[in-house]
Amino acid sequence: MLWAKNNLQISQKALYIIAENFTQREHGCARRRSTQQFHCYGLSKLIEQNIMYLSYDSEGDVLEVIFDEELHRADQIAYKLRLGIVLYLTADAKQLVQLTLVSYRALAEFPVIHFEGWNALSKSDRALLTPLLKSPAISAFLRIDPQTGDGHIASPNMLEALPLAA
Amino acid sequence: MQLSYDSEGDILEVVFDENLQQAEQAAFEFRDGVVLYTTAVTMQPVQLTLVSYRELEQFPVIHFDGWNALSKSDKALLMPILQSPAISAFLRIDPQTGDGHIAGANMLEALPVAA
Repeated sequence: MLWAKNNLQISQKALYIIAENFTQREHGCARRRSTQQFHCYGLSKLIEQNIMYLSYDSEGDVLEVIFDEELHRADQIAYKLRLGIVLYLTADAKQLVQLTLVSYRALAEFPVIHFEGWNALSKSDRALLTPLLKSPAISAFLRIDPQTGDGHIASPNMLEALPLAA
Repeated sequence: MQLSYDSEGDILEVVFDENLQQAEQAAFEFRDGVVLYTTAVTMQPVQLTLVSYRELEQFPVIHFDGWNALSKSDKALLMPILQSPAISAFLRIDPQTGDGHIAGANMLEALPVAA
């Protein structure tokens, strides 16, 4: 399977289909049916409602989190939270579509990073995005203090936890 | 390395080397409830205790006031330890500001024995 978007091509090897292999359990964790090993992504609601994909390009150090593939064709709005970190929502219903993190592992090394794009957003956009940022789906990957725009990239361990991860 | 998580108390204890538990130790409190124990002489990490682990993990940024209160020489000694994979898997501190975050909560769920 080859998946292409915005001129970025990711080979099958780099495409990790996660959620369809998992069943939900309590505490927002999921259990992989085949191995019975437990992994937690804090994404129970999302997993329950949708099929979510993680795609990691190890050469480019780019992580793409696709929250709902069915929404990919919908009109979208992109919110740049900082250089290389972009959250895509549907234009109309403001549903989560995709989160792109360039230099994912590199940024995850920092104790604190500043999301200058967050501070540049309008007040209304921030009000719209704040509950989304706090949702398990997003906070599994990044944490932003809405007041200061400081935060960090979370859970690089997640990639290691995946049997298919490069 | 052994992980022990008390879900009632929300306390994570990371024991890096059980053989060193009997050695004389120095304790460095990075902030209230976040303590790193090392051997007193050779400064090898023995244990990291994190009280309110999951709670602290929720914050985008936390301030390690205890880090800033350490002497310059202690900070210099601890810096390479903090940057080692063993410690940075659980906490990240900017040595300049003392700001950072708690990491690795997913790790608990990866353990079949985790509560």
